Amino acid sequence: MTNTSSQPLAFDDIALATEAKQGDKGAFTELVNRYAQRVFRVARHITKNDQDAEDVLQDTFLKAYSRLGQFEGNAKFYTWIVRVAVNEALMRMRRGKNRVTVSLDQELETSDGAIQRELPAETESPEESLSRTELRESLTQAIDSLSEIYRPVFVLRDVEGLSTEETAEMLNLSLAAVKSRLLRARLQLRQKLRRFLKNDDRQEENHV
Amino acid sequence: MMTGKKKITCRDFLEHVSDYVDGAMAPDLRARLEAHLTNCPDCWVEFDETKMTVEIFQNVECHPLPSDVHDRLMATLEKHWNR
Ligand SMILES: [Zn+2]
Repeated sequence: MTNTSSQPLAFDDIALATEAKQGDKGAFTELVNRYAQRVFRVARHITKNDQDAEDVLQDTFLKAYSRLGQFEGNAKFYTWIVRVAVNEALMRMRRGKNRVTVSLDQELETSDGAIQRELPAETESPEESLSRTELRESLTQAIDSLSEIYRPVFVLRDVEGLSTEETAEMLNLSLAAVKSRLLRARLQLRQKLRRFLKNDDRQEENHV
Repeated sequence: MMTGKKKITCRDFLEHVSDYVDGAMAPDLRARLEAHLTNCPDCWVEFDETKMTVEIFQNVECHPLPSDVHDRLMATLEKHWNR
């Protein structure tokens, strides 16, 4: 086999899935090694809870293994397994207590005035000026603060980099709904993360 | 909603800022939004900050998989396989 491109994975995945289908556990283990991280991240973002995320991770790979026969070689394995994970995570959320959902119109407060000061240098990227851990924590908190309406859409589109179409299909939403939820999510996160963004020379928060 | 070739307002721009960041729109609408953008510093900031917000998440990996979580996953699979 020749690996000429930097993207041999999709092809590889299908080969691995085919071998796993035929009972090769080593091949399935390789798929686990490739995708457990991303499945865990999606699950954790959606459930907002480490224990739920771990349960979703386990259920996802157990289900994936028993349903390998349904995996069509023309789909991306990653998209396929994330779909299983998203369904598991959403189901777990629904089974959970009657959660109070945040009102859609609720204004999110900005978190100015704390810890970080505005970033002075134009050329400085957020990653350079903050420790990775601190930034990661802030991003996690920001995503967790999104309502359940917006969070899954944002996670699939902007964290996992899926297309609008893939996201719509996974969440059973129209394309328009994905786009409008993504817009609201991004605007809310922008408010939350304003202190990490460079341009602080504006007076008003909002000019709608 | 915008109909016909009505002038783009700041509100219109905000409505489309997310698609604009993604580059997902008809070239005609894109051109009209661009025209507004060059004349409206407020919307330019909206655009720039939204774009940075998206980028920040793309560049930082949240929730690294703890190794014990990975180990327990493999143990669960092994158990399933050996049943
Ligand atoms: Zn404007």
